[in-house]
Formats: sequence, C-alpha cells, structure tokens
Amino acid sequence: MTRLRVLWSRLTGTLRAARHDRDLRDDIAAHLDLLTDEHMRRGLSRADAELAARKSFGSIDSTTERYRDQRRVRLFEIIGHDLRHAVRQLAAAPWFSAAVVATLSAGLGVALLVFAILNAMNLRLAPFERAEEVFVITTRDAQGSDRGVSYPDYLDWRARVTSFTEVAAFAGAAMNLGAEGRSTERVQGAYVSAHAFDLLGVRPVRGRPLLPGDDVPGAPAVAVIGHGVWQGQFAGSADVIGRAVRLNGTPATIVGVMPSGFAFPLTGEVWQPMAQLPGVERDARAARRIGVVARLARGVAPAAAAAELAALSEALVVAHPATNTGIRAVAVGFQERYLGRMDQGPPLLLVAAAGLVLAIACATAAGLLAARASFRAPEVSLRAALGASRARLLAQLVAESLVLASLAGVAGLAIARIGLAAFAAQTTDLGLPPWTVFTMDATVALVAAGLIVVVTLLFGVAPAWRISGFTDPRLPDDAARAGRRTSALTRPLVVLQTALSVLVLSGTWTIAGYASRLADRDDVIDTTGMTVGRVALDAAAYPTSERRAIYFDALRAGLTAHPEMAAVTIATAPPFAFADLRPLTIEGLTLDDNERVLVATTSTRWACPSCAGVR
Amino acid sequence: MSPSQEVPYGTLDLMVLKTLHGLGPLHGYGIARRIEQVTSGGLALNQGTIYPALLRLEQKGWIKSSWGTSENNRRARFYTITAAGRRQLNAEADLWTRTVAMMSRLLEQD
Repeated sequence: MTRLRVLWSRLTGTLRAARHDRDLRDDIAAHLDLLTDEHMRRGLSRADAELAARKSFGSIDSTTERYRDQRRVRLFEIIGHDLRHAVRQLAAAPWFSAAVVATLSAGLGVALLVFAILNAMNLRLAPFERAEEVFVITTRDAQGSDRGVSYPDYLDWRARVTSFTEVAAFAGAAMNLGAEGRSTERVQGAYVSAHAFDLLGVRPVRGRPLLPGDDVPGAPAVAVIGHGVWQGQFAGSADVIGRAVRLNGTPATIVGVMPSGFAFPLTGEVWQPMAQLPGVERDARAARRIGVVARLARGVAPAAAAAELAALSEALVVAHPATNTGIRAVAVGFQERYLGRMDQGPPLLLVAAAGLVLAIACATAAGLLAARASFRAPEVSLRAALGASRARLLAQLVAESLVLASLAGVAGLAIARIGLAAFAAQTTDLGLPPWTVFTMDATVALVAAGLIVVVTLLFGVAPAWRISGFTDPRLPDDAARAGRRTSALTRPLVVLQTALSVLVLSGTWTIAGYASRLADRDDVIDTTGMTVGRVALDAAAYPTSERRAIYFDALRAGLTAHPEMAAVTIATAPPFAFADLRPLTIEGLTLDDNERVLVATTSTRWACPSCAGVR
Repeated sequence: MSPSQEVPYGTLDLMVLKTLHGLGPLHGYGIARRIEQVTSGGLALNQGTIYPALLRLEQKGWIKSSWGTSENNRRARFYTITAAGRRQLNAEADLWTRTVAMMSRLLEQD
C-alpha cells in the first residue's frame, strides 16, 4: 500500500516537475531567511549571517538534486536523456552511423520482405466466414500421394460424417464463357454443390446463390459469376442477372454475382451447380476427379475429425475393397491445402536464409561498433571517472544501438515494401487467389518493431559491454589500450561473420545454379519460335473420340497450311508441362516405401520430334 | 570519536516524526532547529538534508504538508504528522529501544 502510494506520488511528481521545483525553492528561501535572522540575532552582520546560514544549510544543489531524485521516476528521464544523447553521439559520426544503418537495414529488409511474403501467403485467410473452420477433405493412398475424391465417396461421407457441419463437392474447370455480342473468353470456374456458398458463409451481392433445385439432373442450367467477371466481361452492367450466356457451348442463365475478392476454390470466378458437370452422377467410385470442402463443427478438435474420417475410410474399404483399399480420407485446412504451410518446406528454408542474412548484418554491425570502441574509450573512461556506473554506461551505449536499429528498421520496411511490390508484379499470373495480396500490414510493422529490439540486443549488447568496461581514467593511454582490448571481441565476431558469409554464399551459389539450369531449358527442349495453345472440346458436342479426331485433324490441317507454321502437333500436354504424373511399377525393381517412379505422360497422334525440339 | 557525528543512516526519518509528534505543525527550519537543540550539537546536520527526508515521509503518507507563513512572513510549508505516521513512529521507537537495550547489554559484557 505504502509502496503504491510512493509510486503514485512519484509519477505525479514527474508530471508536475516545474511546480515542485518552485515549491522547493520557496521552502529553501524561507529556511535560509530564518537561519540568517537567527545568526543576526546572535550579533553577526547580515553578510556574515547569510554566509553562516548557507553553511548550516549545506549544499543547495545537492539538496535540490536529492529532492528531485526522491520526487520522480528516474527511469523515464534516464531513458529520454539516453536517447537524446544517443542521437547527438550518432549525428556527430554520420558516416559511421550511415554504415551501421545501411548494414542493418539490408538484413532487416530481407527478413521483413520474407515475412511479408509468408504473411500474405499463409496468414491471410480466404474471405470465408470463420475461414479457419473450412477444410478440404481429400484422400491419400498408401504412399501418401493425394488421390482426389470420387463422387460416390463424397455422397457417402456427406451422409455419415458428423465432425463437419456441412460438406460440399466442387470440381475446378476452365470454362469458355460466351455472351451475345461478345467473343468467347476462357475463364477459370468450378462446378460446386448448391450449398457450397452457404457452407463458406458468403452471399451474392446481386441476384441469388445456387439453390438445391438448380443442382439436380435436368434442372435449367444456371451460373453465378464473380465480381471480376461481372466488371470485366459484363462491364458491371446492372441487368446482368437473367442474362443468357454460353458456358462451354451450353446455354445458361446468370442468376447471381458474388462479392469482390471472393474466388473459389482458388481463382474460380464462374460457378455452375455440380449437376452441370457432365456425367458426374454416373461417376465410378474409382474416378477420383472432384474436390470436397467442409466446415468443421464448433468444438470439434481437428484430431477428432481426422479419427472419424479414418473410421469412415475403413468402412468404405470393407464395402468397396476393389476401389478403396489403401485409400484414406484426410482433412487439410483450406489455406494449407492450397498455399502450403509456413512452418515446413520451402517457406522455412526462406525464413532460415533470411535469418542468416540478418545474423550476418548484425555481426557486421557489431564489428563496426567494436572497431569504433577505441574512439569511445576516452569519453567512457571520463564518464566512469565522474561516477557513472557500468549499468548506466551500458544503458547509454545500448540506447545508441537502439537508435541505429530503429533507423534501420524504418529503412528495412521501405526496402521490404519495394521488394514486395516487385514480388507482387512477378507473381500476378501464377494463379494465386485474390485474397493473397502482397501488401504491408500492421502485422509486418509489429514484426519490424520486434526485430528492432532483437537486432539491438544481437548487435549492440556485446560491444557495449566491452566498451563500458573502459573505466581506466588514464586517458592518453586508453585509445591504444582500447584498440588492443577490442580485438578480443572483434576476432570471434569476424570468424562468425566469415563463417556465416561462406554459408550464405554457398547457399546462394547452389540456388543460382538451379535457377540457371532451369533458365537453360534449351538443355531439354528448344523453345525458340514455339507457340502453345490450349483447346477444350465440349463433351456434348464431341461425345466420341472419332468425332474429336475429326476436329483435331481439321485443326491441324488448317494450322499446317498457315505459311508461318513450320510444324504443328496436337497433344494432351506440351512435353514436361501440365503433364499427368503417373506412378509406374517396374518388374523386378523393388522400391522402398517412400520411393516411387513417376512418369510424365503426353499423348499425341502425331509424332513430331522436330516441333517438340526434344534432344 | 569526534564530538559531532553524521546522522546515522535511516535515523533522520525517525527524528523528524518524533519532532512533529511532540511539537505539532512545523516548517523545515523549525524541525531542523529542534533536532539540533535536542541533540545539543551532537549531530552535524546539514539542514538541507531535511527536505528530501520530508518528501520521503510525505510520499509514504506519514506526514502531510500545507502552505503557511513563517515567523518572518515568508511562504513556507508546514508539516503535520498523520495517524499512519504515529503508528510508524511507535513501531520505530519500539525497535530502537529494543535495539539500544540489546546493544548496551552486549557492549557492557567483558
């Protein structure tokens, strides 16, 4: 209680310093007058009495100083004083300060850039209601490979699962969107269960969502479009609801527009009911071509949901051993499924690399501080001789490091911002969802503040400890002595710094090696003069392979006749790109559990080594 | 031992409390004079040191102050002991009495 009262009194004392100083001056003046009067009564002259009064009172300065110490919270004043002193010190050595700030801001810039990228990729969730509850349910085979979901399995899951409040199917698809008076455009879309938007908790901004009545075989074809498609393809026209369009050649009616920033599953911006996916209700249990999204029930732990899915998978194996043996259902967080996790794989590698760069920057900055130690020695010795404790000297020196680190933090944020903008420009067509926006936010600023403190401790404390030990007042000798003494600190720093630099250099060399080999794709395929186009034939219009062959024959003949075309081939995929990866069993070759042979398959009716340029 | 000694550490607070308890409201000068009189010049008291002590006691809530006018018509702060201050004084005085008795017995032994 008493302690609280004292603290409160000191806090208010700090705030009302001027008034308290005036009061004390009055007290002292009255006291001295009374003392003078007393001495004059004893027969001294006024001048002598005043002198005697001063003598009895003792040092006014010392009294005032002790009174002030007693009155206020010294810490705030010390911090304020140290920071001001630090700024003056650093301003007096602008080149040194600039070198340290430049070094640290390079390290901080890289670290903050990496964090900002991971922040955008991993921490910004999809614009679904309570997005952290949204999971993707998929299947894995015995090797752990993703196998997708079959429509019959999905129906069984939906009928039985209780850990998830709702389960919906989807199948991403490229859709050729045609409207009257417009050329057909290819947009990313998806077939979704009618209740999928309800599950995600997102309502259309115009018109209506897909309804259960839309999602039955034979129902009139309808579509919901994304905000981007509405603005781009339909110029944001108000009468878009009810507009007749063609999707993959089939007429459909637009019934709704989803809000801006929404996409599903990742970049899809046109949605049709699952029932519009040709042949889905006749899909075999082995045809695993759809995806499943689900919302975890409140209060259910992901582990409990995983256990339930495992049990369901077992039941399906018993019921359908031919198709489901070795297949187990797993739930993966929506964000993790599509954008990966921050705590493993390449992102972690990136974090480690950034940490290494930051560590090198800190070591370099510490080296600079240690090198300057000999210049600081006289000042520090003098302050120590005047009675500054080592803690006070240390605080002062660390304050300088804090100022340097803060400046570097601001510069680092600027660097990260520029880097992020460049990164965003490089990744616009990588198929990232609209909510993955590469911008700085409060989280990045907060991390920057944290890093400033960490960096201050990393690069500032060791040299400060060293320098604050220069308490020998023999000033002329100290510079030389300091120079010798700092080498004890500098040497391990230089070793550490060199080791780290070699690590980073070799790491960079390796990565650059990969990158240059990737860039030299001439190694495998000569891509000069090559053009790739994609064609999707509507299954209803071209139901048989004969019909499709006729179309492709005609297409090839037409393209070959074109004078600018040296050679033409039509295949399921360009070599090594978008290829189907299939596991291959080789007779007589036994593999470990975690080893597999994968082949990339490309099918074509026309051999054309010259146009593929395969060497 | 020199005739006038330094104020033993931690005793000034007790002296101030005792003075205010015995004489009622006093200003800093009055307190200092009274302590000097009672100790008959046995203490080398820098009178200025009384002010940090007064502030310390006030912060602890053992004394309170109000502005008044001194004998020579100067603005000055007058200090009064509080109830908490009296309790503290009793406790401290008790402790001192016991400490002194203990030390005396110890020192009187051969």
